[in-house]
Parts: sequence; structure tokens; C-alpha cells
Amino acid sequence: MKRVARSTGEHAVATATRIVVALTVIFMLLPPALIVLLSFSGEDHLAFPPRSWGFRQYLALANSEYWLDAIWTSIKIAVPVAILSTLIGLGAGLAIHRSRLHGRGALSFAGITPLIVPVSAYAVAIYGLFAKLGLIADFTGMVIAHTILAVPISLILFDSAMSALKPELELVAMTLGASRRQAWTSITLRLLMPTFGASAVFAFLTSFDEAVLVNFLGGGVFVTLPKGIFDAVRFGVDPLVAAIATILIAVTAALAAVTVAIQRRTRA
Amino acid sequence: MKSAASSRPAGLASRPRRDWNPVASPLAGFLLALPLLALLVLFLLIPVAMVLGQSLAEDGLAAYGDFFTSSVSMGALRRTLVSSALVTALATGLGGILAWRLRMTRSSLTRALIWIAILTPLWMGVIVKNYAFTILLGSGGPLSAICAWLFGVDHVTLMYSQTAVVMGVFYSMLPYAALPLYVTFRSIDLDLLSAAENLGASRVQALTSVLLPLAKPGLVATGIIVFVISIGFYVTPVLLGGAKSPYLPSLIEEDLFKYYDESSARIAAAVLLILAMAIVGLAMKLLGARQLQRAIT
Repeated sequence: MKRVARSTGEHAVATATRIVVALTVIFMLLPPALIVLLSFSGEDHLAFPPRSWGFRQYLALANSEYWLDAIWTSIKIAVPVAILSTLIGLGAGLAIHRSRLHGRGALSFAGITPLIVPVSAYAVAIYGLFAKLGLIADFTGMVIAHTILAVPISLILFDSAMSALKPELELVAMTLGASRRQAWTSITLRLLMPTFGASAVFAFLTSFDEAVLVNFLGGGVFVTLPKGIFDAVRFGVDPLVAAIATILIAVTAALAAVTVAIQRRTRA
Repeated sequence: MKSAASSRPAGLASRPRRDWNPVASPLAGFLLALPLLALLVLFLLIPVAMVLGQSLAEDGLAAYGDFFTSSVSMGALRRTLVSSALVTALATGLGGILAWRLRMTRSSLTRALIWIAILTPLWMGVIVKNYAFTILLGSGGPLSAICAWLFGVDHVTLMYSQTAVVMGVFYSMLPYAALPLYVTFRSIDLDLLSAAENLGASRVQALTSVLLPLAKPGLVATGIIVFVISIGFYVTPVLLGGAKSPYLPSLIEEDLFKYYDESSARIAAAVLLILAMAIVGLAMKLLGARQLQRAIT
């Protein structure tokens, strides 16, 4: 008797868990599904469900100087951010894993603090500093601010990649006559190639997606893509944004998937 | 992170003349880390210290007194904290359940679906997620269409409410909870659970008396990180919360760009920063930096 009662109770728990998981999965997939659906709306204003379908939003996007400029502005900022963030992350990764520097653990923790500083408070802080330095509405200022946000991701990637790289490999190279610099460049850096790619992609995406600091520091001059969408959503919902959002989701997912696949293949 | 020093073969460090060692000197290490250190000191430490210092410099603690007696700022602070607590509970709870199913399921379809659900918010930009929620919850959106169809009520909207903000922030934070919890669960030996069940525990008892204690440090660290990140959210409260019931971040933005009141913005920012530092400091004391770092990465 007892045994039966217990197993029905467990059965109920298992079923409840299944339902919770299913509902959560549906909730998580709803927003992107909705956006992709609405990007093929044929209406000039937002309506659900749309009464007509088509590529109207995509055509409007291709002809919109405002949005194309915004995309271009985002790319111009994100490319230097990707390069800087990767180089800084690489340097710090080498320092943490291939030097006798004191406080290496503290360094790897300090490097990821930008991830946990409340971004709106940080925006005020950096706004105060940049106002003094004349870096508001300035290209260099935007790149610096985005690099701060991107660097933790590069550092995490190099940190974990290098903790898997055995220093013995370099030791072998050095035993065979290589100098330390040769060992680092021909062994370590070569093995880190996939990490370079991953770091650059994710730093690029961090900057490309950044919508808070650009509001505070852009001075209204820098209309990046997220800033443009932010303004558009604030002042009404334009269905054209759904087309941009769909392209963004597709590109981001593809880049992330390719990066992960490359990393996995080189690791295997 | 394993320190390089520990994996270096013993005895190598004691040969000073010819440097047979792939590990560089402290000075070289410092130079390699210098760009990161400079970036952190110049553009993180100094500006944050400036905000904290200046918030005290003008009228000392009196400015903080104004903040804590103003009903507007206290309301914003309360809303921010309550919503973040709700988000933390939802994200660690549901994230934990997802992570556990991911660990246990044998069906590759379930696994794929859960992975996609967890990773989707990371593949959508911050701004795209919030745009999706303004449509989803707004009048004229699917929610209102369903309500009109089911109940015949027009123009139902969840927009500009605390529910909307909690949903939006939860959506963004789920991966930050589920991913580290999955790592935590993976480190737990499943034989311990079957051992408990063999000894007469029910599945539920085994989960609560074996799994939960083992996963507790991971759960606490994850919850703390989720909470700290949630209190700083800017885009979601501004777009989904509306102007009538501001959150601390929206208040900061208004102070700065609508009223040009930099000192009020600084006080509000300082309150957020002190709160975040206190929570992270406490968590480091309780759990250690290593556990916390694992929950972030």
C-alpha cells in the first residue's frame, strides 16, 4: 500500500517537473518566434496577427539610410573593440598561466568584475570621467567603454583555453632548441588560434549589442543599431525593427554556432 | 584555473642560468597584464571611486539622507530590489529544474530543446529581447489578441508593470542561472542518489537530502550573481517598466538627462554600487572567490 502511494506521489512530481520544463522552454522560445513571424508582416504598423504577409519590412530596411547608417556605426565601433579586447585578454591570459607574477588569481577575478558591476551605475561613473576628459560623443570614448564590457569575455576564453594547454609542450620545444619566445609563438599562440576567433567574435557581439553605455556616452551623436532600436521602441513600435531583429538573431546564432563548432572540433 | 606553477615539473625552477622554463618572470607577466590592469584602473576603479567620493564630497552624508527620505527614490530602490529578488528566485528555480533535466534526460530531443531554450536569450541582443517583450505584452500583441479571443476583453496589456519587468529580466537572466547550475550538477556523482534510493529514500527524499546539500554552494553563488546583475538592468525597466513606476536605473537616467541633476544621479549610482559590492563581498566571504568566479564564467 505504502509503496503504491509513494510511487504515485513521485509520479506526480515527475509529471509536474516535465510540465514546468515544457512551459519554460515554450516561454523562452516565444519571443524569437514572434519576431521572426512579424518580420514577414506586410503591414506598415504593428498588428497581431498581421493581415498580410511579405518582405515589405526587409525591403524598407534595405532602403533606409537611417538603419544602414546605424549598422555601419555599430560595426565601426565593434571591430576595434574586438581587436583590443582580444589582445588584452591574450596578454592577461599569458600573464596568468605563463608567468610568476604575484596575485594571478586576483588578476583573473579582477578581470571579470566588469560583468558584475551594475551597468547603470557604471554608466554614471564613466559618464563623469568622460565628461572631464572630453570623451563624451567621442569615437575613442565609445571604443574604450565597450572594451571594458568585452574584456571579461576575452579573458574568460583565454583563461580557460590556456588552463588546458600544457606548459610541457613549450618545454619540449625549448629542449629542442627553441627560445621561449619561439615556443610561445609557434606552440602556444598557434594552439590558441580558435580562442582568438572566439574572443574576437564574442567581443564584437558584446559591442554590437551594447545599448546602455551608448545612451549615456553617445551624446546623441552615435546612433548604433541598439541605440536606434531603443529609440524606436521608446517612441512606438515600428514593424521594420522586427526585420532587423530577425537578421540580428540569425547572424548572432550563426556566428556563435560556428565558433562553438570550431572550438569543439579543435579540442576533440 | 590551475596555476602554471603547480603543473610545472619540479626542479626546473631551481636552474637559474639557462632559462629552461616556458614560464616567464614576474616582470614579463606584469607587462603582459599591464593593458588589462591599466584599463581596469583607469576606466573602472577610478570612475567608480570618483562616484563614491563625489557623492560624499558635496554635502557628506546629507545627500544620502535626501535619497533615503525621498519617496520617489526609495520607491525605485524597493521596486528594483523586489523585482531582482523575484527574478533571482525564478531564474535559479526554473534554471535549476532545466539544468537538472538536462543532466538526467536520456532523450536527445529533450536535451536539444532545453539547450536551445537556455541559449536563445544569449543569441538575441539585449535590445532585441526587450523589443520582443514590448510586442508580446503590449496591446495589439499576441497576449491581448488571445485575451480578446478567449474572454472578449480588448486592449489587455501587461506593459509598464512590474510583471513585465520581472518577465523581461528573468528571460535575460535564465542562462546565467542554468549554465553554472548545469556545471554544478554535472560535478555531482549520480551514484550517491541511487545509493540513497537503495537505502530506502524516495526519489524526492534523495533529491532534497543528497542533491540539495551538495548543490547548495553552487545554488547560492548562482543566486547572488543573478541578483547582482539584475539590480543593474537598465534597458528592461526603462522600456517595459514605464515612467510612472521608475526603477533605480531609470531614475538615474532621468536625473542625468532630463533634470541635469548629476549629483542625484551619482547618489543613486553610489547606492547601487555599494549594494552590489556589499553583496559580492559577503558572498566572497561566505563562499570564497573561486566558487563565485565559477558562477560567473
